[in-house]
Amino acid sequence: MIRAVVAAVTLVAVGCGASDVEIHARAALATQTILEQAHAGILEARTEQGQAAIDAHPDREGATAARDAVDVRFEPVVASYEAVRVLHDGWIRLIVIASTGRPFDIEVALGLAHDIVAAFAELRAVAARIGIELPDLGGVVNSVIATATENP
Amino acid sequence: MSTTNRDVAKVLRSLGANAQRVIGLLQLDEGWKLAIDTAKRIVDAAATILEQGTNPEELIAKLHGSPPLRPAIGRVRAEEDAKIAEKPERSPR
Repeated sequence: MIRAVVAAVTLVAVGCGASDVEIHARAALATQTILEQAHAGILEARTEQGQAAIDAHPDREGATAARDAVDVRFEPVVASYEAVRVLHDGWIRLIVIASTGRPFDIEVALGLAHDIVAAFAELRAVAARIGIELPDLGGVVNSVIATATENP
Repeated sequence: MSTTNRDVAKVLRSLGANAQRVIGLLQLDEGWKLAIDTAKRIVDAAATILEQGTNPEELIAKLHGSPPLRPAIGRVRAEEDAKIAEKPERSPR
């Protein structure tokens, strides 16, 4: 459902004759919202699983080992999230610079958008392996890419 | 923001809130609770996106990036360390 809603919002921006910078800003903001939700979901799951691991062991040694094992399971998810976050920060920087009147490098922006979609798909896959469900980001950025390609 | 988007966002937020009430009323198990919490998060994200402004300056001002995860997990670990420290070193045999 989120995919449809986000695509609809992006199309609204296009329908209003939005500039490339505005379309990218809207998609980056939608991505930011999804990343914030992902952050909350991952942290909540990590907290719950860490607590369960500690509760399952009456002694310090067992509890520490079980809690550390939770972090080992979560490491690919954390690394993937941080990778998406760094790419997203780069995208934002590009948009903010363009908003000050400097030229907007659409090729670089689209490349970043592609990379974010791919990195988020990886994050989604590794999160699913430990029972964390994340929304699909592809609909958001793909709408931007399609629009920018059709209306250069 | 158009009235339509605001109305849809309101309905989505209401759906999310009602879903959470269902967990309490029906005393659902952890699996259902997790599924409904996830659905609520997705619905809230959709509502937030619909509530975005239409002014480009307003949009760009809202772009601040997403929070890092490692420091947040570090804080959780610190709290866990305190709980672990309360346990005996080895379990009584």
